[in-house]
Order: sequence, then C-alpha cells, then structure tokens
Amino acid sequence: MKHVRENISLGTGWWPWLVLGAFGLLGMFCSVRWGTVQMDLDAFIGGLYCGNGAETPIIWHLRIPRALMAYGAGAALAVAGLLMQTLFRNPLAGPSVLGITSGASLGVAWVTLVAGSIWAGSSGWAGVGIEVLGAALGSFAVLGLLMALMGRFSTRGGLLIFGLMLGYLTGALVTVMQAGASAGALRAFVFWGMGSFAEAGMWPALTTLGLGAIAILMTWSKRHALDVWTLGSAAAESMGVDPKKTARGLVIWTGLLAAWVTAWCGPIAFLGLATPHGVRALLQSSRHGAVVWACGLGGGAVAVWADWLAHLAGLPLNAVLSVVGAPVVIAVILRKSNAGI
Amino acid sequence: MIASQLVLPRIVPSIAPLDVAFAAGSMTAVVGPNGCGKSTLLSVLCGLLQPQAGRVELGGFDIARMPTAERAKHIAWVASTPPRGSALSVRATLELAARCGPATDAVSTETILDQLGLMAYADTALDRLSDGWAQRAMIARALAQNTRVIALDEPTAFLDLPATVAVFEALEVALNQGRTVILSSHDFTALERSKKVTNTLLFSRSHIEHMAGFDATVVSKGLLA
Repeated sequence: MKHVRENISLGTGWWPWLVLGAFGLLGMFCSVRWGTVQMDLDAFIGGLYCGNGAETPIIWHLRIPRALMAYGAGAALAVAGLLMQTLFRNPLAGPSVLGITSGASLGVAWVTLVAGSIWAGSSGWAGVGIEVLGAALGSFAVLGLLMALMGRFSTRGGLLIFGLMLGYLTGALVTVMQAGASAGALRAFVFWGMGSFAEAGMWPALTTLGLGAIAILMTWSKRHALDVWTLGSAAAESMGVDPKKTARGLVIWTGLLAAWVTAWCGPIAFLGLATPHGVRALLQSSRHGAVVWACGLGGGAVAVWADWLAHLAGLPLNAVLSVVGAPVVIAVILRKSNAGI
Repeated sequence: MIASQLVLPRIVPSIAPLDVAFAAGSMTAVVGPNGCGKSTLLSVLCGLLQPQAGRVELGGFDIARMPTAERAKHIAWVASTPPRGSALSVRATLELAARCGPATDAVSTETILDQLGLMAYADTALDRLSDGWAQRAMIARALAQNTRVIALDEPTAFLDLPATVAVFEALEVALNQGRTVILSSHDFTALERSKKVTNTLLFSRSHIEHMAGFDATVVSKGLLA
C-alpha cells in the first residue's frame, strides 16, 4: 500500500515549485537569447535595452512575443487539459476532446484551401491573419454549438461522443477540400497543422497570458468543488456541488482556452493531455488547488522549451511536443497500473 | 424529515404513494427485493432524484427547492458502491465533507477516522483502497458532513464483520446526537443485532409497508410471501 502525501497547499513541498518556475524562466531566457540569428552578449543586451542595432526588433518583435505566446498558450492548454480530465474523470481527456480543434481545422481548411484559391488565385492565401480568422471562426462556432446543445447531453459520455463525431465529420470535409486544392494552399494548411507560437505578436501573446492567469484563478477558486467532483457526480451533488453547473463551467472555460489558443497557434499536440499527468507525478498530489498552478507553470515551461528546441532544430513544433508528450503519458499510465493496489 | 404522497420515479410497476416521517434520532431500515426501488427512494429523499409526485420536507422546506449547496448542509448520502478513480486521500475527503456541511458543531475528522478504524489509511488515496475500506471511508465522509439526516444505500454490502460493527456503532453515536439515519440493507443480521432500528420500510409489490422496529423473521416472511 503506497501512501500519498497530500498537503492542501503545496503537495510534496517547495522544490517542485522551484523546479517548475526555474525551468520556465530558463526556457524563456534561452528562447530570447539564442535563435536562428546569432548575437553576442553585448549586442543581446543592447537589443534588450532597445538600442539602435538590428537586434532590437528581433528581440522585441520576434523572440519575446514568441516566448510569451508559448508560455501563455502552454499554460492555458495545460489548465484546459486538467479541466477536461476532471470533468470526464478520464486520464486520456485533453483540450481537444470537445471537438474545438476539429472546428478550427475545418475553418482554416476552408480559408486556405477553398476561399483562398477562389479569391486569391492558384497559390491561395497563406497570410497569418486569414488563418487566425479561419481557426477562430471554426473553433468558436463549435464552442457555440456546444453551449447550445449542452442542456441536451444527458451524460458526459454524450459530450465525448459529440467531440469524437465532430472530429470525423470535419476530417471528412477537410479531405474533400484537400482533394480539390492547389499545392501551395495544401502546403499552407499542412504548415498550420504543425502548430507555431511564432506568428501571433505581442498583444495576442499578452492576452493569452492573461486568459491563462484568469483560468488558473477561476479553477483555484473552485478547487474544493473540483476535488469533490472526483468522487462521482451523485456523491458530489450530495456534497453540495451542482453537477450541471460544474459541467457547464468546465466546458465553457476549456472551450474558450482551446479556441483562443488554437486560433493563434494552430492545433498544439499533447501539451494539454500530458502536462497534468507530469505535474501530478511531480507534486505527488491531485488536489486541484496545487495542481492547477503547477499546470500553469509546467505547461508554460514545456511549451517554451519545445518551441525553442523545435525552432533551433528546424522541426515542426507538434513533432517535438509529441515526441516528448507521448512517452510521458505512457510512463504515467504504466507507473499507475504497476503500483496497483 | 417528512415524505408526503411520494411517488417514486422509474419504478415499474408503480407502488402506492408513500407517507412517512423520519424523526430526529431515529434509524429507519429500508428493505425489499432487488430492483424494488430502495436506492431510488434514498436518492429521492436526498434530493438527488426528483419524485414523480409528492414532496420531501425538511424543517418545513421542500428539499427539491433547496439549492444544492444548502441541501448538503442538511442531508448526507452514501452510494451503494465506493467511487472509482479518485486520488483524494481519506483525510482530505473527510475535510472536504466537513467544509460542505453546516458550520456549527463540527465533529472532528480525526474522531470519525478513529471511530471507523481508518487511522492507518488516513493518508492513503481512495483509489488505492479495497472496496470495503473505500466504502468505510465514504461512510466516514457522510458522518464528517455533520448533517441532520444521513442516508446510506446498502452501507455494509462490501464490509466484513468488524467493519459492519464499527459502522453501526458510529451510526449509534450519530443517533444519540439527534441525527436521523435512513439506510437500505440486505444485511438482516446486522440490522437485528444493532437493536437501534426504530422503523422498517418493507417494499412489497403494491406498496411500502411501515413497521416499528426491525424483526428479521417478519421481514423475511414478507419478502418470501
């Protein structure tokens, strides 16, 4: 019988927090300090303090917004993943289970593959703005549909099947659009699917950070109800947690976070699914009060590191995230089943 | 707690409307064959299911109209099966339950852990406990909620003899504090041994029979008739 320490506030103590915080800060520093353009220390410091060199726009217009976007998006997705794992009481749930990412991909497919080809000629639109618009339209349309149908899902399983079926449906439509698209437009769509934190710019990055922070605070303020929720819907209701309101709140927040991040960064793989497992293992606790903060810090840190490494190696972001994320999930699942009772 | 003209949902064939009062400090046993509606009755009494007709009142208030959080201050419920997949520790679960209950006269969670012999497992996660220990933890949770009414759905189904004895002793303490206990059970030996059962509700095909005390012989005859 394994005993799990659970202090209400800090889990196993202060060191996991130090690790998570330092990991994130170091990642931020690395991605601002070293990129594809080499700069020596003096030039870097000059750029940081807005000198006249070419480094200033590289640091302030490219590297810092990108690092902030990565941190904010990573934190937001990790919190969204935690909320979905809590809602479904299922360790394999992530921000994409609601079908929001599918909706975004349909929206982007439409603007890049169809609308772009019709209005902008054979090369299609490859502009960033238009992809953000398409993804936002798609993801928020799905979120709207979810809210409209929310009252009709009698079980959480129904919600899960809704997301799954929406994935099949959009997958089919995207294939049809791909069949008739030009090579240039296809390329733009495929690149969107690889995910990137680089395209957004400073204001979206700061907004994402703010949204992530609000989501963390909201989750933290409901930490007791979410802990109670793990005992089952009926038990939670008998302990004063309204199951319908709780489910609705979790879906709205996850939908909002996933839709916002997917609109700016594309479908980001694995981060939302894997981070909560990683931080629960690190904290040796699943109390929401602690885990949600750790998800924010951990998700942000992992995203910044993955983005930096992918950028330096010239690899797609999602390739790096999947290579890191999949083994984490497998390790956690194996550890759980081996520990047994 | 008073149930008046209560018609249970989902019960086929339907049984006559139920009128029954659950006095403070009383223990009511709900007995009957599988699938007769014992769990449904308990869920309706706890406000987790809406009755088809009739109402359940507590202190003059219709519990169906109480907000969920308010109801949790008055009525605690234990499911017939322990939860699956919660990594909360036993102690954390009890502390959360105490937080849901009324603010006054809180019973210490440590006392309840001790009553039910859960001290050794206080820091163990629920999903690492066996069914019996997890069910004991859920009963402890309901006691920690410190409500006027405690409804337990087959609380001893997973329990061994010492655990069953410990649970009935803990319920006796709750009765002496003036709380109302309602429990469904097939464990007639335990019900008879406890000597604290004040009323029995026996489900038959057409209605729910109301009897004083608990007599295993009478109930068995009623069930086999």
